[in-house]
Amino acid sequence: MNMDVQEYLPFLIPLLLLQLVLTVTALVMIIRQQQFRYLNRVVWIIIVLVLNIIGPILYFVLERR
Amino acid sequence: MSQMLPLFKKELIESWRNFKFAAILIVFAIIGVLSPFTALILPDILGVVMDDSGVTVEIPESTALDSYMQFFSNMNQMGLVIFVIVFGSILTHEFSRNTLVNLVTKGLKRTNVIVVKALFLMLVWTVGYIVSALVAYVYTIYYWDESVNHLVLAFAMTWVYGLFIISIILLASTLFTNSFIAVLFSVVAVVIVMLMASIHPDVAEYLPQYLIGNNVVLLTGEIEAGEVLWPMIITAVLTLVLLSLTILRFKKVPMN
Repeated sequence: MNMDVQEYLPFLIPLLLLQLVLTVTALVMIIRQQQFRYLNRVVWIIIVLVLNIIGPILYFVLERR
Repeated sequence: MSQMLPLFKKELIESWRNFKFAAILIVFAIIGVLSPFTALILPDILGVVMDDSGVTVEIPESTALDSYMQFFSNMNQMGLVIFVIVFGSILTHEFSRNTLVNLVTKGLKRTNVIVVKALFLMLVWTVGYIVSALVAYVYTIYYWDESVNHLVLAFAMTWVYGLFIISIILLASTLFTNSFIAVLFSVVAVVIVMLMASIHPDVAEYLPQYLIGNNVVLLTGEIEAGEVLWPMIITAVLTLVLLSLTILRFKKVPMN
């Protein structure tokens, strides 16, 4: 199975990088944001960290209009 | 034209500040990487599961077709849904925050608002989709190096369908003004109506829905390129009609 991971790196590295950009941007925006329409800062951070892809998207849609 | 450029810039800046444009690009790129990846690892995963359950079945190696199949199923479902959720509020939030009132009363032509919004959504969709399709294509030719029929046309089918969805978003926005949820529901309603109508085989061949249901069939060569011509033309015409209706309706929308 270790062989396989090596083979899959060309896919895994871009996937991880893209997700990282999405998550980090959302986190930076959450930390900078003062007033929240829904929920609060801590809950949004948890949502963004736990739900990858969907979490940041939800944040951008609901809080950043 | 002098009104449209600043408006377009405003949309670009806005979508940069709230990161929606970049988010869509990233999500579409993820779909582009994920699809060939899924096609590649699916036989391995199945093999492990089969071994565990003691069944020995010959699992065929995945092909370029599997990769494109994954791409189209991801794009037509996840990609379009995320696009509608992220950009469905592009016009409704202007109503709910009354941001257009000042501009319109100061002489901004209402037609220009809709044209710019439509052009902007089409730009986002086109750029995102091209990125996604290119990524998927590059991975697929690198890992499989097989040719398929009418690849560009198959990619174009989903793209045209996306333009159609954009026109529904805008029309629904002008009908329900400040309710984003109503816009979401009307897109879903249109898709459901088309799905129900396509039960009848004669009608199915002419509906926009035909475009996102038959990408892979076109690639395998089961249908000819000519057969998707009519749904393509009909979808494009419908898109233009819906956009014209949007402009007509938007001129009558009360704003104060």
